[in-house]
Amino acid sequence: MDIHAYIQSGIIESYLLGIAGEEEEKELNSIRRQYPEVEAAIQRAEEWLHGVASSYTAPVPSKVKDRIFAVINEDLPSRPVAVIRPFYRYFAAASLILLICSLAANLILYKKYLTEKNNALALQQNNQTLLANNNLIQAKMNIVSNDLKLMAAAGSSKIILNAVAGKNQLQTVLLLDAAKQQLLMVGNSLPNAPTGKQYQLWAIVRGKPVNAGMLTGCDPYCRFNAVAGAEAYAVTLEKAGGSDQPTLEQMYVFGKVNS
Amino acid sequence: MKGVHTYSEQELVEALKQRDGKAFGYLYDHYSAALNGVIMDILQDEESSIDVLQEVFIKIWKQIEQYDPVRGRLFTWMFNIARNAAIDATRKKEWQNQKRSSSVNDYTSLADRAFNPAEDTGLRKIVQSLKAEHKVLIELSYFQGYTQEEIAEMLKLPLGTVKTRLRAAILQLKKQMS
Repeated sequence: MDIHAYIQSGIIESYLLGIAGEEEEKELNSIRRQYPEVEAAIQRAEEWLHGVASSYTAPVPSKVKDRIFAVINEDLPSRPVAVIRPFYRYFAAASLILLICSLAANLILYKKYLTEKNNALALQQNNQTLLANNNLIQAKMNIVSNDLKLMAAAGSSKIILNAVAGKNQLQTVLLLDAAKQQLLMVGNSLPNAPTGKQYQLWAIVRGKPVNAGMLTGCDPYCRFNAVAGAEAYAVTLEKAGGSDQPTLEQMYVFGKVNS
Repeated sequence: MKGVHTYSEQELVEALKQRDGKAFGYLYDHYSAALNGVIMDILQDEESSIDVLQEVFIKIWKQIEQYDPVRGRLFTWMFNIARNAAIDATRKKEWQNQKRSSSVNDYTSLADRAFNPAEDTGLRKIVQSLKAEHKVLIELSYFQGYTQEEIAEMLKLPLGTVKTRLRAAILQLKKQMS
């Protein structure tokens, strides 16, 4: 290694100025131990740095020294108090200061406690809401699961209601359980009913329409009681709340029950 | 009664480690102006320099146990504390002012702006006389405390180039000062 070149490279000064890289520092620290010339060069450079810094001083206001000594005085070995004074006065003063500090600290802590308590309550409430929602979803899941079992069981059937002329593309599917009691309307593609109107399901029994219920609360699907002896089902758009007799020109879908 | 006491560096360090307030006063009287110069050079603001200087002397008092004479002179150790504290203070200030720039152009223009020929004193004035490519490196490394890796990233230069240029810049600087 060319020690002379190394010394002249500027690495030592970079190191002292604190701008050398980590690798360079490590290298320098190992080389200085091996080569006394390098160690000597470092010491010379330190003199240089000290010299440069000493020639670019910036005056400091005298209050700074006082401020620094005010801080470090706490660390200095204390001198014994020469005159003995009534001890209780100091004690009382110190107690009062401590009391005030303690009250202030208590107040701060109490405020903090209140905030934290509110936070905890809010979180608790949030948690309860989430739990309730969760229960609701679970209950719904149970119902759906039961329905699914019921409608998948042997003997259950499917009634497809197709669009009547002029109501293109619409379709609604009714599922009927084996006992012919429950009717579920799934796969409903009817457009949203305009305000003030509602869809109504009709059963056709011996050629006559029988009200089977309104299409309300259809989440995730509508549920009806099956009408005994129904030969077919149809959906019409009626005034809100339903009609006694279907408005035939407002019929959307119609499907026969497979015997 | 009160003789003017002078200390050798070794005596001074020993006394400081013994928590000797008088020795600390001596240290302050001898080094505060030089260290304040270092801090002022970086911060360029008298008020905040004084705050940093205060912080630095308290740190010296509290950390004197950590000073190891084998690793270097007392002044070098204090110089490093002062420079690091000053850089921390600039970072804090920059952060507060939301002035931290992110693009290469911002960094280089920042480096250019940092030099003000009319008001510069100390090292900054000498740095002024360097080539632009050297000036930027000294500004970012010495005055702003970025590592060589960070500088390479900012200026989109290979790390090796940053290293060589930085050393060359330091040598130029040293030449100007002697």
